[in-house]
Amino acid sequence: MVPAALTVMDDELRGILEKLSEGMFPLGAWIEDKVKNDRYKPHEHVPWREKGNSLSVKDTGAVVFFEELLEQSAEEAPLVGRFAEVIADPLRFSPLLDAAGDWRAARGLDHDAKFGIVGSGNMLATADGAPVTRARFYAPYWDLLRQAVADAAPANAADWELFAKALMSDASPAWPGNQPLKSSVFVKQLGRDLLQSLLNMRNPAADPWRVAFLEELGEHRRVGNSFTRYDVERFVRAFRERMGAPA
Amino acid sequence: MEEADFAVIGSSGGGGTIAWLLARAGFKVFLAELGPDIAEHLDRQNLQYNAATHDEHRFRLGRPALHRRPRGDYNTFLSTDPGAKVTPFSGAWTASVLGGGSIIWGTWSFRALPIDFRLGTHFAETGQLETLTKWGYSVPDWPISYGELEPFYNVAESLLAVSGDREAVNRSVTSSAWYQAFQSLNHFKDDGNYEPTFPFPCQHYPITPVGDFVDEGFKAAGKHPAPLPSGMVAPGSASYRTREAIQTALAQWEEEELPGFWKRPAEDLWSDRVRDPCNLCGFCGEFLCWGKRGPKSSTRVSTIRELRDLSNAQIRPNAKVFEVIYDEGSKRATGIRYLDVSDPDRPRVHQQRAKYVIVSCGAVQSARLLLLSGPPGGLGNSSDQVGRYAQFHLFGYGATCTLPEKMQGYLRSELGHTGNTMTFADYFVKDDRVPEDPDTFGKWWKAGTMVSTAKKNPLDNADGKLQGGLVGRQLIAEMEQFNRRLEIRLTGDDLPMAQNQVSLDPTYVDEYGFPVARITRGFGPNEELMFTLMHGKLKESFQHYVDVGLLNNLDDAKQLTIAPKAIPTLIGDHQMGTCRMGDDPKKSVVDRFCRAHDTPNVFVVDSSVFPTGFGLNPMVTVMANALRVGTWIVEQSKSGDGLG
Repeated sequence: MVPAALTVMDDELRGILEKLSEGMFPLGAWIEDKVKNDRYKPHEHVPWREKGNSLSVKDTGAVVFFEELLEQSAEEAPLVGRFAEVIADPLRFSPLLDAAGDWRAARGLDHDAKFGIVGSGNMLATADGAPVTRARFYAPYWDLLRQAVADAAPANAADWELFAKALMSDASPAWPGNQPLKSSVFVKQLGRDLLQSLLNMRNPAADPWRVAFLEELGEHRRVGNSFTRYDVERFVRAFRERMGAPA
Repeated sequence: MEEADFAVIGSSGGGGTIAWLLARAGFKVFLAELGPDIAEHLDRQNLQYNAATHDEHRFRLGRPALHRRPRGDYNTFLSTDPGAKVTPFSGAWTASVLGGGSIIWGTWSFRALPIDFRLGTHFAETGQLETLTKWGYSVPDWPISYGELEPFYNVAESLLAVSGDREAVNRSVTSSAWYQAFQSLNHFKDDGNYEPTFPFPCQHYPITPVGDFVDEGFKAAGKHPAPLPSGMVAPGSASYRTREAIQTALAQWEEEELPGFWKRPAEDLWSDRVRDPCNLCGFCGEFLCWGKRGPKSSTRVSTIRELRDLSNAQIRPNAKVFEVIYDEGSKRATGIRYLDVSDPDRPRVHQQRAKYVIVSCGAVQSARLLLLSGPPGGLGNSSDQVGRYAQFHLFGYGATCTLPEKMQGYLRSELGHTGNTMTFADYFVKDDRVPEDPDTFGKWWKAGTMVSTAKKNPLDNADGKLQGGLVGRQLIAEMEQFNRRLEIRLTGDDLPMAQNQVSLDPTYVDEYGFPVARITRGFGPNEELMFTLMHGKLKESFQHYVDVGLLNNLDDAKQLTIAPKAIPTLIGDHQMGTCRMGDDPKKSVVDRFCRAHDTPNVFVVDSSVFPTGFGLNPMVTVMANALRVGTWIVEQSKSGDGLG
């Protein structure tokens, strides 16, 4: 089981995550820069570009999605438990039962076997290589993050960007030392989880907010897309015309 | 089923195809598939669209991914570099679902060229075989010719509903410089037909902006491109009628040579099912096609669906076969033993008796299963050949172009599947470098097909950059550029070397305590040479866009990046070799009919048997060969000669 305490965030932590995610994906500053420099904009009207509006990671539904992921951690627990058993005793579930050792010896295989599920990158793991649920993966990082935020005290969006960058490169002096957990491991996993939602694979937000990042990137891939040959011909014509257009 | 005539292990292009043919001929067939059936929607017309099928995380990044890397199964990798250490890794898996790799394949549907079956003869005549042998390669001819496979290629393309332009593909081959140069070689005119007349069953797939861009570049560089043959019912086509398509293919066969199995009435070969055209949703390679009635071709939407109609066939998903049961006295297999992993935490051992066993698990897992079975040295391995000569193609080698910022949003990489236009222009490439290397200068070396490739998966790309350390505006900038990127990808031929092999890992085991497959791999001088020679061939394909002012400097990595070489650990579905087909039992695992030399009631019917690996995608050849072997089994059984 995964205790609820590990899967439910308090307001303080949620607030930190919303700001950190904006530091990791500074959508508002990016769009502001694009507007200023007349760079790519979505072809349709979009609400976050209206006067007085902006776009944040929170607006896209990614943080809520992340909380849902944590809540779903309970579903991962049985597999994690089983794999921990296999790691401890790799031949435990062999259908060859007691003959497994002799079978291996006859084939010249090593006496001691290993189960490489973590090494193969197929499971989330703790710093010492034990398979772990998503909630338990994050659990030891939360207090470190709170402490680092308290010490670094990022005051504005630019500070949060710098803070995220420092975490990614394990260079933040605010990240607690004398412990084995690296900030980069945390940020990489958090970014991976947020990206699922930011790129609209699974996303609880309403349209068009759920696809806002895709719209701004010029990515037209959408779950459930459908086109005809004539659409493709039209897109080729537009592409060719654009190639001939001035920069 | 008390005793099957044939126990077939694996349900992709090899197993899924031959299982259908044998059952249709009246044999009792037991088809075992490691994974579950994730495509049940294809049989249920009223099922609502399920967005999970278009979930890039679920289908490409999730761990463990049920369809691709079944829980607890993984492989290990060992480089041939001195001092390299073995590591568990996630590569070298095909899909473990009903339909296997044919469910998630990229649909690139080439037939091999006649010269691909005669590489040994070719290189002997040109004097290159001595060099290749010196370098450590073993390059034999196939024991069968292109001509023997050609009628089965026609049928395979019908089953796959291949969309394409035959004349354009033929022209791409015959207009190539290597083709012209080889006209003077003695073997070349006898190798087989380079200009098949069988029309592709569907009109070619629409040319996308990515394909159009590369098409123009190829043409300007003097290469002859063609629409990529694709295993999809083409968008805009009428519903696809496989029964009629098969009859069209059979009509190409000389009447007196048509095997009895294929002479039966059309309705005794195939049902009246139809398939719907593709809607260009763009979730194809690595994804499960959601299209109703199977626009994307797989055994799951063709032969396996037909197989389900037959009472003499049993399909068993979630069956992890861990042993081909071998009787030492008779030197024959007597069946298979498998774990029913429907509930993977409570697997149950089952046994299926069978007169014959057909192994079709892909080149990595087929070799692993043979080595797990029989005597301690492995089944069919008396000559220590099982697992050797593994070939995986040279994935990760190609040229990536980033278009200028004004093209943001215009490339429309989401359209259709990954590839779009292709060329055979550099299937062989000549070494004309100065100063001359006496071993290689003036000779044509095997490269492969070049295909325009869309950047399909923004999440996968962003995640890769994130894991590499990018965050913040740098990461977003990278994601913006991804939208303007396209690639020309080379499906390069890695020639067979004995050192490249699949073996049982002596230490690492799967969830059920069985040794996982260890893949030992390195590139030899031929591949290194190819990386060097192809650099310029890739680069010249973009020169046109410098000439018209879209790009300005092909040496600027911000505009064009050419991979220095392939990535040895990037091993996907193109798995070949490991159970080489040949006439000499000392140098091969199976004979020309894919029977194990040591154990003639065991067949291997997948890409494992390929003596050499082509420079193109193997699926069509895997299916054509399965049809060939299955037809031989049926005809041989009828003749009373037995199968050995």
